[in-house]
Amino acid sequence: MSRDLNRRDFLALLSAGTAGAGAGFWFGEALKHPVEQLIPALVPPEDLVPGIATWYASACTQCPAGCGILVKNREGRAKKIEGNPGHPVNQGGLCALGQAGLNLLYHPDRLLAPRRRSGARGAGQFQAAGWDEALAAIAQALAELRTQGRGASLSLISAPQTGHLDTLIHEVLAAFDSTRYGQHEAWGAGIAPLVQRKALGLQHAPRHDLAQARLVLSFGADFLASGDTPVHAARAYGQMRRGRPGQRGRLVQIEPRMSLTGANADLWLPVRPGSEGLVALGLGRALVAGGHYAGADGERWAQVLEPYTPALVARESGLTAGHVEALAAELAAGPALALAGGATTRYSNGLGNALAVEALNQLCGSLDRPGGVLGNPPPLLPAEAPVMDLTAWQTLIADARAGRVATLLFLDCNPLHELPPALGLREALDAVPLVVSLASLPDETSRFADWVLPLPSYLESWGDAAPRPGVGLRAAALAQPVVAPREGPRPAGDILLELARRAGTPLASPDYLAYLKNGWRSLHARRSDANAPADFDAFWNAALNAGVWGDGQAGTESPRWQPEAQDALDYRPARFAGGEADYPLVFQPYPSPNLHGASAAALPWLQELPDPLTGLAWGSWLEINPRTAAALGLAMGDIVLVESPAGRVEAPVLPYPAIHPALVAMPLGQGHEAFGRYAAGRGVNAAALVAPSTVEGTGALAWAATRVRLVKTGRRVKLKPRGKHDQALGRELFGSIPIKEL
Amino acid sequence: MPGSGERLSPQGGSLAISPRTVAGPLRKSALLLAVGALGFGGGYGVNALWFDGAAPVQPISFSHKLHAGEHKLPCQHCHLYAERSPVAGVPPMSKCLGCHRQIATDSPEIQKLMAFWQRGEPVPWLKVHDLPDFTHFSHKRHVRAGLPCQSCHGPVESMDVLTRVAPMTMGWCLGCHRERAVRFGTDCWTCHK
Ligand code: SF4
Repeated sequence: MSRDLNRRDFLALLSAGTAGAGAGFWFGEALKHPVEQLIPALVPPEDLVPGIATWYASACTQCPAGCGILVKNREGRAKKIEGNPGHPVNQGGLCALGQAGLNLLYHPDRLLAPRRRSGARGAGQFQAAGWDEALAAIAQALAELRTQGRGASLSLISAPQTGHLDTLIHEVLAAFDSTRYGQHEAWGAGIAPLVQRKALGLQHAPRHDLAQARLVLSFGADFLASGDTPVHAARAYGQMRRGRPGQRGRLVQIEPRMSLTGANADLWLPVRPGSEGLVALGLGRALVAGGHYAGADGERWAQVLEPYTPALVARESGLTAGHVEALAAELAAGPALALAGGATTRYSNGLGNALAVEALNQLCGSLDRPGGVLGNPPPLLPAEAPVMDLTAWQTLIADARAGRVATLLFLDCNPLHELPPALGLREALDAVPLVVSLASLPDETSRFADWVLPLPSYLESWGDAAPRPGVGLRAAALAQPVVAPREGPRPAGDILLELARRAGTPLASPDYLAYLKNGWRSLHARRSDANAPADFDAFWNAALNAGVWGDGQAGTESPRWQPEAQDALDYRPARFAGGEADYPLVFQPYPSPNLHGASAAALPWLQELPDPLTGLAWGSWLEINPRTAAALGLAMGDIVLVESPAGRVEAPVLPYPAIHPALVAMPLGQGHEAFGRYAAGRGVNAAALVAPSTVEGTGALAWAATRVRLVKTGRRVKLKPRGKHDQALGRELFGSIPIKEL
Repeated sequence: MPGSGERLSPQGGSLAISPRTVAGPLRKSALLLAVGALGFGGGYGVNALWFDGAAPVQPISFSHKLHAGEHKLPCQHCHLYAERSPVAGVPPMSKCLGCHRQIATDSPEIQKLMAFWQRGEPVPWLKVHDLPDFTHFSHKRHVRAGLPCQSCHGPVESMDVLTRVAPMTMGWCLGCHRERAVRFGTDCWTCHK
């Protein structure tokens, strides 16, 4: 080292010391716990204590089942949704969609301000607009229609409404001289309302008493995953299986593609698609022939059912005669509950199938008895509008094309994605001068709207819901905002009331909460329950606290077999769009067990949730029998072009052992072009393949009446099913050593 | 190693490059490094001693001495939830305004407060006492056990600037739990749930 410190070295040492000190200081800083902030409330909310969860009772309105929920709120944020144990429908249970409701509340792509279309229809170009501007423009258009006497050219199509919003829509439309109000539900109840009237003489949906059933014979009814009220059904199913000591109810599932319910059955019988009703008729014949039918009209039944011999049933359905005999013997041993649903009621011959199944209920004595088919009291809040069937849509589309629809309002529904595109709704919208969509996410229908008005999520809204179908009680759940609503969106009820006010025909209520309270005031006035508080405010608070109010069973109907339905009992083979030569495989779309609600595909938790039967997530796939796949030279992950007479989509092949060799199936719910970042561009829309035809004798869309062909594309993807345990393939999954070898 | 260069020499003669020339810059680097390390230690020490964050500069210089000391406001007058919740709660702005709409309205700090209020913004106070997220601490239990707030927070009634006095480490917690023979007070799961 040089003895003299020259200037350069001095500067170098100084820099080293300074840099070291800086680094040391920074290091000390980095080791520290970051300083956090304490953000006080401006004004503390009265029922929230920081650090302690507050639970609010409310209602899940994501599907018409109308379950009750309890929502955990911490420091003003909703954190968890649970089932309300006090609600008679779900009794504390909750489905995956109900759980994922938080995703809707916190969705990053939520609409927060009104939008006005700035590009071509469907181009997805919008400008933000103020509420004043939007409401003024729409109200003016509506007022003009009324003054010109063209109120009938205003239509409103809404998501299923089971509460007071239903009556409000009806009243607001009436104020504009329109009665054209329909509800849209993609898969929905289908032909069930018709069947219950025709076969059982019921006004309201019957109650299938699973909980007390001895034997359940389900013809395609996937009540555990995609039925009308899956949580209620799952609870009843649990009760049937192991809620009665010493008696375990038995479940037999007859369907060509194994559903989640089929996977739970003791016996799953794949029949040829469309022959389900024939199996029911064959079983009925065996019951009558065996002398097990006790009714006075036995002879007539014998006549009607004579043609459905075991040989015919075996030939047409692909079951063996032994299967039919064994099932008939099981049926003869005691009452059984027969259910029809899923594809069984959505073939061209779906009505015949459903009637045959109800006939089976009559023949084995299950009507109006515990463990069988029961009636319901009228719902506490009756619906004003039916769910639109295919015929209703076709009428609307024809009217639109003919220029008879001037204004079309869509409320919280997305028919543009959910209906088969072959129906032509998208094209028909071109002829409608004003299309308005009220939505909380930017869905496909909103893309085609001139105005998009943002709605709050159900967790931020006032509302109510009466369960549909009923569960034996007259009950309704009350929904309240469980968090402070995000700024921007307005509740649908408030928007409608404001439109009526601006158009010069105000309703009595200033806002939707007032309307709702009025509705409940009249429910309170009509109450039959003597224990309900006599003072309305006390009653309202009690209902808010409990989240649900039930008013007994008054006026319960009884299902009675309608003799006229006997004449309709003839088996016709199912017919399909597309000839067998060109389109060799029958196509069955089915509601995905996870994505069965309209908003489900937009919710990341549900996208991430593997399908319970295939283990796949985040996309679409085509299920095909492994033998059919082998014959066509297709392996797992091969992308095929699926073509039907109505459309074409591309999807990877999934060999699925539990499907009839003549059938291919695909889950519904994916294939969105819009609908937020989690849904857009994911998978394909199975509805694109469906040819719009009706279930014969009804107006309902026959979802399962199309044939397809598969064309190889030569491309493939790696499908990654989670939790594949169906193939042990010689691996010893559970190792064991015989005791002698120990 | 003095002279080692000679031994390495193949011919036993002196090298063309003197070892001093080689070692000189190296030593210089070592010196630089040593001074750098010294500086590092110093910087760290300064940070630890005088910038320990025990008394962060708050957006408004609120004085506990004035409120809790001179005016003798009980702690829970402002920290509303200490007795019924895991968190004591920082007073809502409306609470401050309850008095300060009338009192000391001409003080510049109160005017800062009013400005926040008028903008509808909460005051972003800085946390003085903060436990890591993996510990579960409940004010409710400690307050209901009759522990004075000062046992952990120090004599706040004499502090103009609120300063952390306890280390808030696990050993410190356990010391008190042991001393008072708290039931389950030394179980892992009592604090780490
Ligand atoms: S079944 Fe329907 S109402 Fe019930 S929790 Fe699920 S989505 Fe909500």
